[in-house]
Amino acid sequence: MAVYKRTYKGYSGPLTSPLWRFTVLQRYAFKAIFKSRFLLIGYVACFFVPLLAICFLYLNQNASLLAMVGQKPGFLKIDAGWFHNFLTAQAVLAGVLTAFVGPGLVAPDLANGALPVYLSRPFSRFEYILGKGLVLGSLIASITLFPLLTLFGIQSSLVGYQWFEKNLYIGGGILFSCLTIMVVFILLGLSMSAFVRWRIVAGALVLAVFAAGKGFGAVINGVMRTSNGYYLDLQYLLSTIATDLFRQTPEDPPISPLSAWAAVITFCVLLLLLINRKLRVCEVAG
Amino acid sequence: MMTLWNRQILAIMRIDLAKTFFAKRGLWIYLLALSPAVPMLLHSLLDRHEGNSDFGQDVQIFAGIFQFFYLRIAIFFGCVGIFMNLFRGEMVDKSLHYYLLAPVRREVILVGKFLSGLVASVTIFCGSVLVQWCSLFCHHPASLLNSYMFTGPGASHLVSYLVAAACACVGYGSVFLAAGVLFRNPLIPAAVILLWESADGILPALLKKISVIYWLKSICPISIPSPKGNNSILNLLIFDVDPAPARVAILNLMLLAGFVVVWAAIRARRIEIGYGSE
Repeated sequence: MAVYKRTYKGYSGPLTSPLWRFTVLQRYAFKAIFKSRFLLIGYVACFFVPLLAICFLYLNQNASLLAMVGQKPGFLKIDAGWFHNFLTAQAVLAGVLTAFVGPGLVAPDLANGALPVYLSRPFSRFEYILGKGLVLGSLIASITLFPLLTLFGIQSSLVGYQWFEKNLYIGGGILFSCLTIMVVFILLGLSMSAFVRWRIVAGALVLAVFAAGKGFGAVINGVMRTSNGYYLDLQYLLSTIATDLFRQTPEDPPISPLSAWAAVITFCVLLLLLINRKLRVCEVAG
Repeated sequence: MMTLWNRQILAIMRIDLAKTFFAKRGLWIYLLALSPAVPMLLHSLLDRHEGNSDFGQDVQIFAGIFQFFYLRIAIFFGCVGIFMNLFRGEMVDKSLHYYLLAPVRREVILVGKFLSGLVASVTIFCGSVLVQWCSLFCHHPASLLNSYMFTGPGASHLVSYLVAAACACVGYGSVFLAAGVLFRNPLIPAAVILLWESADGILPALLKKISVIYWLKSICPISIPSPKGNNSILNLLIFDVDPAPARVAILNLMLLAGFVVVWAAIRARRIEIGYGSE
């Protein structure tokens, strides 16, 4: 073919619907994330406890097996407390996953000046954040929301409709607790990634927000003889919300669930403002 | 007369100390180190007016904060920031090749960088211990403070806290420096070490001696009484049923640091720069 005929031709292949363009980011981000063998192994390991829990639920209702050890079905109580403890364990793993995956989402785009390349296309800032957030969101949901709902479904199917009807609030608690955790972790991961462009430091910051917040909150509580330090302890705030959703709030909690909601919402708004401030494409007038 | 290696180490320290102390990137380390002093100062200011402060309780609170927050969180993350930055930070800034191209042995570069990190961390964290001590106790009557510091155990307690903070910098610093040399993403070893150190309370006696925090807790002068309520996780973080003698603890931490630095120095001979992959 002659050279002069190799002129520009517009792309004629199928176009992604404008409504779902943010999923393109997710697709490529997943490829990049699972290139790391360490992350892949870590992610798979997050399903170890849910698998054990499924076996446990099955054995707990298996009459013939339990008869061999002289027990009746349901000898261990599966209630809101059990699901709450399970959620806590999975949420810790979700936090660690956020520290490793989150920084790699936005920081490289900012450090290498790739953000204008994204935003020069028919692709809004909101879609960019949504696409990147969805990467973290789907990973977190896959190790918290889905295993917990699966366990709830398995327990309901093993025990019967009466148990399901009586404990429907646990399902609601699982759903809303996991969604809250997802939103907080997504915003934390993206904001730290945007705030510190060095991936390693951003990851350390995600861990430090939990550890330092807890520690500093305890310092304030200890020194000032107050319980207001809990407002800085993100882990405690999320746990208070989950405890309330699972209807396990103690009689006289140091901070009320409503206050915990208010503190978490304030924290999320601050993170959103940080993301909004950092994810901007600047025009340099020459 | 100074040997060549000493002069080279001093030159590296001079460059790195300026970077560690005055870098904008390291501002958060100062904030982390001084963060406990803020509520302590507020407590002093408020209680001076209300007059309901208990000296014994303040001593216990200081001990609790030092063991629970300062050693485990502030110094830990501070050392992550300072010591991992010594090599990984140079990689990110694409400036490590200036060191490697200079006619200096790799081991000398590593020792110089370790010493500069150590001087910076010890200055920041031991300085912060002094600031916290003054902030918490400044509102008590001078006669009480004098008797506590000079006729009571106050001075020896303060020295123990300073030694524990310095030993924490030596122990964690050496480990994170080695992690910075050995791993491309030092966050992975940092997270593993954090988990290991957090699990120290539930480890068997032999395994807990492999952690840094066990030896640090042994240097601390006051054992914390069990807090009210059933907060078992907090109990695991603070208490130790079988502390080692302080001298043995200090010696072991120095040996650990020496071993890790020598090992890292040997590994540093094979450092290869891959700026593109950072």
